[in-house]
Amino acid sequence: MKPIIFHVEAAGEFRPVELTFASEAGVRRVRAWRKMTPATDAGEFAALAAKRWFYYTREGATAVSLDEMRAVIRRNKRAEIAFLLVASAGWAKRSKFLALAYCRRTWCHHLVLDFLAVRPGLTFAGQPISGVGSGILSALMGLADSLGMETMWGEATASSASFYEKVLKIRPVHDLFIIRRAMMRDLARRYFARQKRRLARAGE
Amino acid sequence: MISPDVILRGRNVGLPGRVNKANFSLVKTPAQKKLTDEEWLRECFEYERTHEIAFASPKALLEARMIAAMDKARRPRRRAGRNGVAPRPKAAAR
Repeated sequence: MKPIIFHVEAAGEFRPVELTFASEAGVRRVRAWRKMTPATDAGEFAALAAKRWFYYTREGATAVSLDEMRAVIRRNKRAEIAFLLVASAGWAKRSKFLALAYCRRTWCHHLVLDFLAVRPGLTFAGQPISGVGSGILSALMGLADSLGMETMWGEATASSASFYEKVLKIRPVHDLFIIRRAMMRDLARRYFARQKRRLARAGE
Repeated sequence: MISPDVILRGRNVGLPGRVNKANFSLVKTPAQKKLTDEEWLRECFEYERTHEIAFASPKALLEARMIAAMDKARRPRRRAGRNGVAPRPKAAAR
């Protein structure tokens, strides 16, 4: 599978980030976040998401590529499959992975977002990197749409609701957000079209 | 004995009027300003500049913590005796 590419803002520039399925080695790297960024929610969530991924892998319920996921679904239409997506950027030399998203494909072919974490303190040229979280969410909507999923949903908390409200353009978000296919397609299309226009403008 | 007529005839005994009658304008919520795609993207980026993005579904978090606890319980404890060190004799009661 080709990585999904979206752009983030780093040091006043628009820079590409690749989103891919994590392999076992990738999950191990993500697990190490806790040591590198101790006492942060992102560090704890990364370690727990990795733990969950290993547990599901022992049960044979994870996928490390889109092709593998498609193959599992072909074999069993009601399969529950977990996968971890990691965002990386070659230009961010200090950190291999910038962010992660732990997702599940449910038995009825819906996508559930369980963990979303951006590595804390990400900087480039001494300035914060922003747009990784919204980029992942938009890429996920595109992925769900391409897989023919009718719904994407997730649980929201007091701290995450405002983020989902902003990116998903749903107001208000309480403890659950649900996005139907038409909306997923529309938001992902608009997000990537906007990025394309911004890139074209920057290249002029 | 005839029961007393509890309904006063000739009087409107329907539901009482609302005490706190609110104007419709007070009920309406302020209209959301429709953002252009450019503004929407800028807002998302601005949000991420000022907030940590670390979110977990409470259910997923609970499950992951249970898995972690199970793993910890299953892992064999390292004891000094397993590393070839003779176990320390118990202190005798005096």
